[in-house]
Amino acid sequence: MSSQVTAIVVCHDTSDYLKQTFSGLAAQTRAVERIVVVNTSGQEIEPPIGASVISLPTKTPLDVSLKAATDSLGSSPEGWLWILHDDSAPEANCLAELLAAEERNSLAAVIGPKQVLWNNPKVILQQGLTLSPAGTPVSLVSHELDQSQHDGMIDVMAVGTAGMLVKASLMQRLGGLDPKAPPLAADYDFSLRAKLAGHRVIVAPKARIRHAALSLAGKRERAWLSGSPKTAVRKAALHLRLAYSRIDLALLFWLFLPVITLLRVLWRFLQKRPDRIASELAAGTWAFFTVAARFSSRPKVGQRGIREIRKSFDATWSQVRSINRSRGEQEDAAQIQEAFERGEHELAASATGKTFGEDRGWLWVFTLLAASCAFFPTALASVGGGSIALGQNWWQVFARAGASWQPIGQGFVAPSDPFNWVLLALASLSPAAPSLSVTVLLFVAPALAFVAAHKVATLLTPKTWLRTVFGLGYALWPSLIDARSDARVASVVALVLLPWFVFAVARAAGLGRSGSARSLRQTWSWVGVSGLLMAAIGASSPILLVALLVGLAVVAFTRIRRFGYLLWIPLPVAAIFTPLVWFLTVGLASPLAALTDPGLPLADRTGSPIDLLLGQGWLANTYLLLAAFGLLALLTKRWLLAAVMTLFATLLLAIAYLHASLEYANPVGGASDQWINGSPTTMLGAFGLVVLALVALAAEHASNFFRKSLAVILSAAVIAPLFFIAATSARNYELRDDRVVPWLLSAQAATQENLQMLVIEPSTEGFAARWQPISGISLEDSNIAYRYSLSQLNANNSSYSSLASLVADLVSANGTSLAKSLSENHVAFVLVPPSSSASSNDLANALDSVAELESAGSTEFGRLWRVNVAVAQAPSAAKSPWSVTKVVELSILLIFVLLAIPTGSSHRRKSKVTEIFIEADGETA
Amino acid sequence: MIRKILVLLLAAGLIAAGVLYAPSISLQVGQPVALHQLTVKARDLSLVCPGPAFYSGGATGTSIGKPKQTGTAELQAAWSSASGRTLNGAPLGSASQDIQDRFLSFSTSSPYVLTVSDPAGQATQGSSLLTGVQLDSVSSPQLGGLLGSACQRPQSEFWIVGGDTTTGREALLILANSANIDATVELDLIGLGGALSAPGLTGISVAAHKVVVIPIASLSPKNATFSVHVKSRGAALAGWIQQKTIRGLTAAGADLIAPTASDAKSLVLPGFFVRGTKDAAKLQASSQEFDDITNIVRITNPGSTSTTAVVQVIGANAKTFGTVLQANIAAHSTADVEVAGLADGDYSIFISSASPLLAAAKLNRTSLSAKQKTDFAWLPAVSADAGARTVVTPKAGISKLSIANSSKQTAEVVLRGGGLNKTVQIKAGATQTFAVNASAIVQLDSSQPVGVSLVVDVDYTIAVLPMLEQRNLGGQVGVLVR
Repeated sequence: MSSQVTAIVVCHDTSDYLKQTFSGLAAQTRAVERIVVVNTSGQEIEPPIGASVISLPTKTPLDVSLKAATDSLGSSPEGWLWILHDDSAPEANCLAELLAAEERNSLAAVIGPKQVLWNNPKVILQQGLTLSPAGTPVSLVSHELDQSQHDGMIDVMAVGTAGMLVKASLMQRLGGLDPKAPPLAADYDFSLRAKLAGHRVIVAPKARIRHAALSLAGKRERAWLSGSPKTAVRKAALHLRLAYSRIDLALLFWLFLPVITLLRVLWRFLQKRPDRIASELAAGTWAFFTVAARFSSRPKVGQRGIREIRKSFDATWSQVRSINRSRGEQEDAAQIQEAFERGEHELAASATGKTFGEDRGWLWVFTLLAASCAFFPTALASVGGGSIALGQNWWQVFARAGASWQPIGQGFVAPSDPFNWVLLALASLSPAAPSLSVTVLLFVAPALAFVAAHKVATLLTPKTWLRTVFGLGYALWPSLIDARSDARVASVVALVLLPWFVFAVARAAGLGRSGSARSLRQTWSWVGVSGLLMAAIGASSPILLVALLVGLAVVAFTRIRRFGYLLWIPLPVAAIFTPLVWFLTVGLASPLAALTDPGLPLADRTGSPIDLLLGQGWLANTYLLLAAFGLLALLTKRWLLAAVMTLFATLLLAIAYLHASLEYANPVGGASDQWINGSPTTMLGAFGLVVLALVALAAEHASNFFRKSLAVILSAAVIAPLFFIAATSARNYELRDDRVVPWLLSAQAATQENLQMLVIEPSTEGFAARWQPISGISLEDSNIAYRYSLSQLNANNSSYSSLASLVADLVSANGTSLAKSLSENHVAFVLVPPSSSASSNDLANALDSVAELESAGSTEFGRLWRVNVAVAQAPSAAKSPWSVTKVVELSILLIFVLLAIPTGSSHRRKSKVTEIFIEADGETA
Repeated sequence: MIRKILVLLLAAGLIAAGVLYAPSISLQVGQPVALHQLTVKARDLSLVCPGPAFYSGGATGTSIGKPKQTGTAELQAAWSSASGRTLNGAPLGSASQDIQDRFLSFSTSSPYVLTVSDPAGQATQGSSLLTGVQLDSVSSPQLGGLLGSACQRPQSEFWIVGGDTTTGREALLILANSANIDATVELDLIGLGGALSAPGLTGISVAAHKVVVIPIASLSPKNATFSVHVKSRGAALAGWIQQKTIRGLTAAGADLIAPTASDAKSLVLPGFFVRGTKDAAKLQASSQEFDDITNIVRITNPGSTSTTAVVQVIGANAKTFGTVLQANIAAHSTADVEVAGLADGDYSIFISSASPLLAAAKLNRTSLSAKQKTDFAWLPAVSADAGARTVVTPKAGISKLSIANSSKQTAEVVLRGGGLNKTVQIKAGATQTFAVNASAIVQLDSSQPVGVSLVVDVDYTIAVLPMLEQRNLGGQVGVLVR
């Protein structure tokens, strides 16, 4: 057989790479007989002497270029074709080794060289290709130091086209590269077809070629790969799956491709690789809609042969895992190295301080729990103050989260409160008894706040005592203690989560003592955590969200390198707030209503800023000493940071005052609570966190004497009084079972859930009537949109007028027949809440004399009457818990949950980081 | 360092200034909700008259048994007839019958129920639609005095301020149920030291169309100062305390104490007519038995904080100057304030306080020239109302209308009927008295809210009948659906 070799150089660029490729070609110890240069660069090139040049249009794909080159060789070419890319420079003995390999291996018709990195030939870039058991392309060796450890490997499934030596006759017989195969699948396709034709595909390890892999590095035009490199890789995988799987499996794969793509998108989030989402979607869509082309690329014969080939050459799962892990670590290491070079290096353990356990943090946790004994959950539900029971089970709470239909009145179409997602998260902790999680939260809130604040303190100081004071100061901060006493669930959630959010953002932004060099995966993980925490805090306290957004903007602009990550943090909160903000702004022209405190409306402290800050009694005001000490941070060397923090603290206080000055409509409240001021609790809590940070800053950079004095003063004059107040604070709510209606109605609701109960209360101006399902109203049924819609509903909705007439007739007990009206309004029960007022008693006696009502006794929820005439049930068609907005909100939250979940590689890196740096340093040295 | 100190001082100063001098901000978010204002037909107005006096202990006063009504009471009533409107009347528990007369005057031996049936619901309820008074002048060894009362609209809850259960005194709580369903009653007795606890205060059943009489001494014996809070469930009730005094073996006065007006920071008690002060002084000097013929104002503080009551006793003319008293009333307690040193004359009482209070006054009538030397009457605080109202006068004795202007503007009051045909100006915080004929209908129309009581004197015995605007819930009812 002739060993004449024709080199085909496909030239897409005219860069230095091409020159080096030509140089490499010219330097071959075994010279080629002929050189054909296919120029698709659209520019003039300097070909090697004697080379023939074929010029083609710039967007000519590789398969067409090769076809043109082989066609130029005549109808029956002899010898070998050596395909070179313009970015693949062969070493001098490359061709000789390739031909030597051919001589040693009979039937070898396709021979690939060992591809090494362009800039670092010690490292192998590629040495043969294969597929994973799932059919995705896998490079058997990649980015490994070449120590000849893989030189025993000869037969492979496929080789890349860069540097590939192929028999000219085979190339002609197979028709060249398949034009229907995407660029990165073409080499697989060709090799597989060569194998099916009875030839061997081998690698010649001693034949080395430097390959810049410009296409995969994204340094070529996107058109070259018909998309981004990541998209091209995925397209190749999909093509191979559809073209080389069994036909039945391929069809099934195609049918489920949208679902598979969706799952892969989620998987990418779990991998913290959101940069690959677009590629997954683009490739999935491409493959789904070009299935005919994929199937037409299937080999016409030899399915059995393909199975045999794959059986012999597929990578095992353990190989795939190892390759993926190796690739992940390489990426992490590269990113950490980059971060290190930017100066973002981690501190030594001595500089970051002890862990929480070593700081005796648990001792304080148990002490705080002991001081909260009055709040110990002796019953399921916390009822009173700002809390009522949650739904009876997890599904009930889930149904309300993100819902567009509310079971209020005869059904109300409006978005749920974003806070319902927080309640759902809480309910998920005790799905069988959702109320219990709230009760437990109120019990453990100071302890949780301590742990969280202690974590934040690690960003500021390595000193145990200072971290402990920081944690205790926040856990015992009057805002949190008062909120807990009044069962302000939303405020408690916001305050407990706030330090975690600060910590997470610091990690994502690379701020603070322990927030330093991170891999992309870890950064995305912290972005996920931050996003979820911001959503939870924002939903619990919209006014605090305003401050957090300001703070996040400041961080993002000061850490501009992380801007691309931090930008995504507000996405979940935006998703869950958008429907409500749209409804309030566009529907009701009341955008400020979005700042309404969620949950049960409960009056809070109001007045001037000093009124907001001052508690009852001098002991309760000792905490203000912290603010005074905090200002001393302005005298330290970090005075600029302290000044910014002081400014932010002042801003928080100003927002708290503004919010407490706003009066929010509250028609669902009592007669004296028709307008209710915004609660400054969470803003004052945030103010406390910043003040404590200032104190930590002052202490961290102060002299020893000052530090010791501060420790004594803070412990004796601030922490001790705060602890005393917290331990003796009263519980302004009761612990009881989680029913929201009398037993009688609980039982009835199980069979006739679409009946209504009418709750009537006397007010100063007349009567207030509330429509509710007989199963009752739980905490998740609170609805801000409904609060602000009530004025329109009462004015324009005929069913509200009808109910008002019914109420008027009921309370006047004038003998009018009410059977029809009760039935039309689906009212099966009437309840008068407990009250000692004369008007309430008058009302009860009026209802006693209504012929259509029958007293059902006095319950803990008030006096109850049963309607003794037939009542039509309300239609249930509109009760679906699902809606488009809910799906969108849930999807985004789930995506962020996937992002937040730490994955294996980020864990692993923790233990390897030191070695990585040692290695890096060593190499640098 | 100087720069840092300057920054520190600047920051501290700015924060302090902001905290101390922040501008006041007021902004409402959202729209107030307008109530549905609905016109509904009120329940038919029904008044219950208590009937003749209850005697306990049989003929000798020493037998054991339930108090029984004995004798007859004189009842006068008036109503406004119109097309489709009827007046039904009957003794409690008896079948009612239509009454055609516009003015009624008859005797009754049991509680009597008057009801105006208004199927169209067009009538405006109040005294102009139906009003009635009754008198029972009794003179026996067990009971003597003038028992007078206005007929009363049943209520679910009311306060009766007055009563005495010390030796020789008897207070009977009369509860009348004119409804078709039974009522269950809970009582609160508020004394000097606060709420009194005793068995039998709750779960008192008052059957439909029945009267229950409860001796308060059985709940709180030897208690000179208390008030009774009646809370009824199931049906609304009418209620009075029949109070009597026996000195030795002599009946020394009796009265029916009617429920007082709702608690308020400003109260008015018209008809405080002081007579026989010299005779009273002589009697008090002669024996300690007469110590209690002093005039008092009884005040109950139902709230949870103590408060100071300012009691102004205002005379009707220049000769009766009046007096001003102050008393601190502890939370949830009742206290008596003695009103001494007043010259004979016509007075009204105005009470003001920082917290809502309940009040009634005990007025003694003493005459050494009369057969019965002493009698007393309890004046409950009345609600002040403007507009037209109707007063009927009893057929016996001398009746005087006492009008007190508790508003802050001069009231122009038009009086027609009962021998009156005049328009008078009553200054803010002033009171005037008008003698009216017996068995008469007096029409009164006031431009400002005024309190009105009818003071009746029958042979030196006295009764003060509060004139009330009694109406069931109806007309305009505000409803908020939420």
